[in-house]
Amino acid sequence: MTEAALAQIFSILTEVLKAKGVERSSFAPEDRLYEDGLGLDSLDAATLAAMLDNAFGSDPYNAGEFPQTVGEIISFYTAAKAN
Amino acid sequence: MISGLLENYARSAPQRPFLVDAAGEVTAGAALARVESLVSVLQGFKSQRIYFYCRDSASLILAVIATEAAGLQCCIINRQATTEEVEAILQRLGEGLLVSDSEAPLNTTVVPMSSLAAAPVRSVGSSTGTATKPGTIVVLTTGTTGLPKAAVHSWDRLLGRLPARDSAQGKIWLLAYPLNHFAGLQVLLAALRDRSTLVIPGGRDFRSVLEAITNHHVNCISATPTFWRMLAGRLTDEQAKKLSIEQITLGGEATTNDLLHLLKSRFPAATITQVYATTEAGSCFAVKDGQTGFPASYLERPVGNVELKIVDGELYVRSAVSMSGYLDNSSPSPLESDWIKTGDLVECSGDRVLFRGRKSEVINVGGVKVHPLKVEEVILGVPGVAAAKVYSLANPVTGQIVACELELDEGVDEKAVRNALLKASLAALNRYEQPRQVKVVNRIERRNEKIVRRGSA
Repeated sequence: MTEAALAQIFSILTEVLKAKGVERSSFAPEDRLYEDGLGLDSLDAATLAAMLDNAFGSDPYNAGEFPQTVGEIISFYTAAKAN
Repeated sequence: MISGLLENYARSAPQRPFLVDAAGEVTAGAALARVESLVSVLQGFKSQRIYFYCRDSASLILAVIATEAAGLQCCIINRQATTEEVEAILQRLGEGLLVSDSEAPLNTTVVPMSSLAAAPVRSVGSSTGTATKPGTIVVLTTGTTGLPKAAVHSWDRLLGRLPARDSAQGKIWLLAYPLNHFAGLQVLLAALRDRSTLVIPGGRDFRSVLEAITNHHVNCISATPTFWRMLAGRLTDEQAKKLSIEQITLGGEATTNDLLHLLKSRFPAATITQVYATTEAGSCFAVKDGQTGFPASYLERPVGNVELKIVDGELYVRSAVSMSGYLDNSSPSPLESDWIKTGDLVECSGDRVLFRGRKSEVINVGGVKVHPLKVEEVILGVPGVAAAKVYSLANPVTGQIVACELELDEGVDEKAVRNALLKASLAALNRYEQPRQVKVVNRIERRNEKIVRRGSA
């Protein structure tokens, strides 16, 4: 994964959080996405899916995966590239 | 009626937990005793209609059963409603007593739920059947532009429309819907009829829901496809194996093939039922064959209490047991002989009828209806926005999301407009209504100078 792509994933997460009034810009792969971590609910996950799809042309949710962590989003795109 | 069901329940299984939540459990016997004492308190108020604006579902359920036993009309107001919305509803629907457990100051007399609950419990055995006329329930539709309609339903008709009992009694249901929602009432009625336990989760988030299901051995869940995508999607194999889900009921929005596939693989032992319901006709039919849509043969003969037909691609229903009418006469009440337009677009594909979206431009975000015009109004109020189009976009998590396209005034800074838009949405729209995708375009597509709002889903 290029650094630019990684930065884009982080900036999307920042924007999703901003839309719920949360300011945050740094993330680690082990950060959990939902209420036990970044606090995303189903509506936030819906936004995240739409934004990832816009940026990369595909997204893990549409592919039938339900990423649990920031790392799982990253590996979805690394795996997609490897294929 | 429903108090009669509770009496039967308490007589046959007095020690069985009827309601379970974080605070503990209420057995059927204790619930009946509580309802009996609430009946006399409610009758003391000399009001024919009781409004509830409550967060605590367990005490709400007991109070609602008591209104029925007392022959009163009850109206459950969405607990997410703002105090202004509550006041507007009371003003429009008129006369009635407001019972609430909310701390929020309201510009009207409020009877605290705690004062009802503090009434002394009468001895079990005194009959609840003191009412001279049957109680009714008012269900408010989720209108977000204009006023919500207030449909009056009789309890026994609602019960009559429940899908037939399919299995043994004594199930453990999760209450995944709020009680102001039709589907929440259906779950309550099914639990009463089948002498089952209702488990009330501490919150709507994944962890609270999973905790409630695991700790209380829930085996039946009725919820929206969005709820199921979130639950089934996030469960690990190990967590899924520990659950013993026997009944999965889906309703509120169209189900997709990928979700049915996911549910079958996650819960191979479960029966999957898709319920089709409308506010006017209530629950119409249930499909259990694990495919999307419904069999085309339903168009040829009555299905349970309803008949179905397709006119110009829209599904119509005619129900032998529909609602009693609208409370405020804001809309003409459908007659029993009337076909009701559902607003759902359908298409025949072989021996199947498939759902193709809504006729109106209503966007269904995870089972919640969003009206594009309301969202557009907010967006158009943002300085720098010249034109806006709000539409639905297919989404793998919530089925649809609200998306919008903007034309900007010349020379304005896009980033500043986006920030102002975000602020305005957070302030004026609920979370379902907030646009989840905002695109700035040179020109929004127009037809006859009207913005074309049909989305991609």
